[in-house]
Amino acid sequence: MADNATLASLLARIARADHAALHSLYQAEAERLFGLTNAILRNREAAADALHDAFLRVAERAGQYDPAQGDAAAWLGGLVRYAALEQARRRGRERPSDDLMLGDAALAPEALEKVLAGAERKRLHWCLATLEEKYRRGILLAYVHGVSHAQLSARLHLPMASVRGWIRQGLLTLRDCAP
Amino acid sequence: MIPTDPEAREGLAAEFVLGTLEAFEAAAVAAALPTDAALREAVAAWEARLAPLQGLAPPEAPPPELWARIEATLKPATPAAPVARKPAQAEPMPVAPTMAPTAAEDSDGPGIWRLWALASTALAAALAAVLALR
Repeated sequence: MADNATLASLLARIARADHAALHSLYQAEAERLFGLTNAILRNREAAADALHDAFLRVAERAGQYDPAQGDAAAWLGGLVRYAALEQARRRGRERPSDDLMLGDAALAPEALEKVLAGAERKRLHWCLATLEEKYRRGILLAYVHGVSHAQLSARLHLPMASVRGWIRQGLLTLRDCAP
Repeated sequence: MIPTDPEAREGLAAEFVLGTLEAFEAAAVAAALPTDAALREAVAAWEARLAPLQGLAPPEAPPPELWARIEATLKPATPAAPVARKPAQAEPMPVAPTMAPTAAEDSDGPGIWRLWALASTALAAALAAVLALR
């Protein structure tokens, strides 16, 4: 995985229509980004479609990346997530929550521990840890696996009518904790 | 469509980033972003707040042919409409194999396609101007 300065300079070159830079970015980031789309879509073909669409957008919008707004990797990941979510919605998010293990890896405390180890991430880690279990699970499942309200309701055993309210409550609690 | 109540707007921005909005709601937020600076700011803050969670998805190698496919879309074999987002191609599949083996990306680089793009854009603009004047 490339460091932030390298990614930022690749994005600057892509904004100047440097096609080789797009290829370098793909080589550096494709595995991480495909991991994101595949976690959301859980279907390699759909995940590849999403990454394809995302890279067309990167070619088009690289100039919109503003280093003042944060990491280049986070910007890229965000763009790729939106492409994957669009793909999921286009496919009707038809995948029922039949995979009972879904999200177990992402929800394991050790996974959070590892991912949020850096100093600037400690706060988010701590805030997630203080969230009620159902909020935390709901937020992580939705973010990592693109799970819909209906699927969350089934998975977390919460009534469909109130699941959106639960998630929103969890998000606002998280914001107050990690502004 | 986009609420005015600050808490409701904040919740909507959060759900947009989290990904739980239905297609029509997500589309409404996306459509409002260019003109609603406060909503844009809220969305950016949520993106930054949750971005570290991207690390929870395990990296995985994409299908090996994916890069060639991306390239083929960016540089279609027919240079008539190289920047069209959805080229009106009848058969998208045969394009890729003919593109892949040629070292087009190395020999003539993206410059020539950019030129084509500029030229066809300019031509389209000129045509539009002519039509408008008539």
